[in-house]
Amino acid sequence: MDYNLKWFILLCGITFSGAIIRLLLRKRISSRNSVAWLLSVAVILILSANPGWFDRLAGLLGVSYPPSLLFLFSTLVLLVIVLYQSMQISVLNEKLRQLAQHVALLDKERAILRSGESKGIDQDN
Amino acid sequence: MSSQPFLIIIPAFNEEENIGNVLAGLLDVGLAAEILVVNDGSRDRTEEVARRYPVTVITHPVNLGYGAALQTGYKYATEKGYPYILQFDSDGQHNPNDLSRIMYELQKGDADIVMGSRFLEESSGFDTGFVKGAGIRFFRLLIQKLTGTRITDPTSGLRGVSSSVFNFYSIRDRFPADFPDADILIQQLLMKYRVKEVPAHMRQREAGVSMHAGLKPVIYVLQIMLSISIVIISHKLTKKVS
Repeated sequence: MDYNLKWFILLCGITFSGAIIRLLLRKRISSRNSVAWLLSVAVILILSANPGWFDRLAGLLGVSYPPSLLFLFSTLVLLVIVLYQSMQISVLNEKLRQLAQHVALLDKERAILRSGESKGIDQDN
Repeated sequence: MSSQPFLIIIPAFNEEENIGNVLAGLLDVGLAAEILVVNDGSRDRTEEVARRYPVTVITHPVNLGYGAALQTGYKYATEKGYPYILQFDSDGQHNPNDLSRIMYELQKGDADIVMGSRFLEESSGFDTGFVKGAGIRFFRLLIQKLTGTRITDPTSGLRGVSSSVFNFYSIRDRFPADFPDADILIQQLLMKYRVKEVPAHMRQREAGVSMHAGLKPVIYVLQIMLSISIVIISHKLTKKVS
């Protein structure tokens, strides 16, 4: 692997993990969601620190240009994360639907209680 | 303002088989405390069973997680002005007889958090299992290294908490939604809250599924380690600013 590429990947990995830590500190991302991101960064950092492993792995898989293996890995990682996020969105959509229905039913109950109260006041008068 | 100084908070998720016995056991002891069951969007009859007893029941329309259910209890206690709360599990693991000691220690005023520990008395007889036992030993060591305080049972959910602590955690994103673990305990120790342990006798689960079931332990430990790192960094940054 090219020496410059190695340092570039290392820089990207460090910047990215720094950004995730910053988001965690500002409570903009949960630790559960950030574990997957940090794990993928760790994998990239380990591979960039040991380019020999990468070349050997590329040889094993029959990839003639080792850096292209990086693209394959990053695509696979992104695919897994996007799938996980899609699952999360589906769960959240379902929860949001139930919450909206719950609020709508409570609103109806409140309206009935209010109209009962106002009728009571009218009768008192 | 509350009529009793203590509120027992019981977060419950799909515990129809246990919640009745837990509430009956608590009411039998006759503690000077009110009871709040936070039904965390259970799909079974947990709410129906809990409503048969003279306790307050709050139901989340959807499942939000153990931490979120506990925080709902904190918000309720803050709103009603309770000076102390007691955290009690709905799965039948905790013994109601341990609560009077925790209440006594809290009212004495020399601790903000009183934790029930399975390991202060040799005779407790609680078998944690190999993996959980290793986890407890690891977190015990980590807490001691990071805060200098020895907590024998860091994963114990049986706790008494004073208002200075739960008022703080009742605010928005200060409390994790899924499961407050060693990270929150470390944060509390770093914030100089006074933590004390008293002996407690816990039973194995009576029925149903544990909230730890199905969690992949490796991801869980990684997540907790990450949360602990964030707690430490936040603490160092706050110290630097102040």
